[in-house]
Amino acid sequence: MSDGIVIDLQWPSRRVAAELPARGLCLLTGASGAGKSTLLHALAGLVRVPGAVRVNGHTWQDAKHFLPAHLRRAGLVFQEASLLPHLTIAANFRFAGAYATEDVGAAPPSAPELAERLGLQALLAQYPSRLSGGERMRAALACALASGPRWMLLDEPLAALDEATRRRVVDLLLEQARKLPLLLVTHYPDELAAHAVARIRL
Amino acid sequence: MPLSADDWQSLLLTLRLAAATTVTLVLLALPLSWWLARSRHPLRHVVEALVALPLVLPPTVIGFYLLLLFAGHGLNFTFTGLLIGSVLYSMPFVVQPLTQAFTAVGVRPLQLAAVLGAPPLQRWWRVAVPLVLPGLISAALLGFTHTLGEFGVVLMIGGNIPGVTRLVSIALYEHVETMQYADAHRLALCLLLLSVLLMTPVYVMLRRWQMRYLT
Repeated sequence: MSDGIVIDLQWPSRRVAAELPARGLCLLTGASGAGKSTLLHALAGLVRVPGAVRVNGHTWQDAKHFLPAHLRRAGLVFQEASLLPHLTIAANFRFAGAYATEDVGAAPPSAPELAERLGLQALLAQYPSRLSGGERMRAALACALASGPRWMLLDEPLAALDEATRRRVVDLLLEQARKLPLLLVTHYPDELAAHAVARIRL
Repeated sequence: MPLSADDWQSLLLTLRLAAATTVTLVLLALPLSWWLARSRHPLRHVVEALVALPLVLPPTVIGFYLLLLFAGHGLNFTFTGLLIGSVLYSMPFVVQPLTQAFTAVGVRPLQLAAVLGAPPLQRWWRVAVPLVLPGLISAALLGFTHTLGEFGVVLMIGGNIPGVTRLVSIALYEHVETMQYADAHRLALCLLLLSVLLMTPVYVMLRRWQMRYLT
């Protein structure tokens, strides 16, 4: 079983190829419109882009296979911090935990633990439409972590957060980075560069 | 001023037909509307046009072709024949709002559910269907109410057999034909009040749905 991550995706007009360590924070940077979100969606299996993706021994896709999104276990946090709108935050957590697989190396942190770490307890009974941007982002992050991901894909998770919350979220992410690979889109790579193990520029 | 026994029978028969039609339509419309909302298949426009036909064609045209179609199968002047006719006739009133509801859900909640590990059928059942539930209930009420007022199709394939095919609209027509205006009034008022009663929750539901998700 080979450790590490291999990306080699071929769009009609461009190619993205990279090799990343099995764990740790990787930054994804590039100008607006460079295709950062598109790359994350392709890695999560939401759009079909020819090429290969291998994550710590799991082949997500190659020339012959294309693993559908629900079997990849990518912890994708969308740029809009999407949550399931018909469920309360607590029910969103339950949904995220319901499909967590046993074979993911590091046991995912439990939803109550995450809610406490991210200061979400008071919001558990709320519907997503009642949350602020920063609250949504924290809730979406908690969902992604609770789903037992093999690779966290984070689309600008820090942009909507105030300074104190940002600190909390970064601490949590860096802690997760010891167990999991993380790919994080940011427009401010300098603040995280010291903690990053790799960087992809688009 | 109570309804006569005959008119009661017509009213109950009409409610029974509307209920059977609504259940059938909901079962058909859930997969069909989902497909119409999500598919990029070129044939979907043809299907959409076919579904919309009852909106533009005189019901007697549909009734006439059904009459010819049913002739060899013993379906004319039966409850089953009426049910098939009603399903076709009320189809756009259920399929169109439900298709809009599925379209409004968008892809994001379903993508999110997929990323979290939910397999396709679970995404449909636990995400898409709950998200269209208010739309589904209003679509069902619309279909039910619309079936209550069915006339042209019934006239062609149903006839006027008490307890089998004599619906409220037919009984009402007969009352008018035979100058029994008092009976006609009672029946017409029944249908009118019933329709208002059924349509009001449609709008309550739509508003509540907007309040919860869109604010």
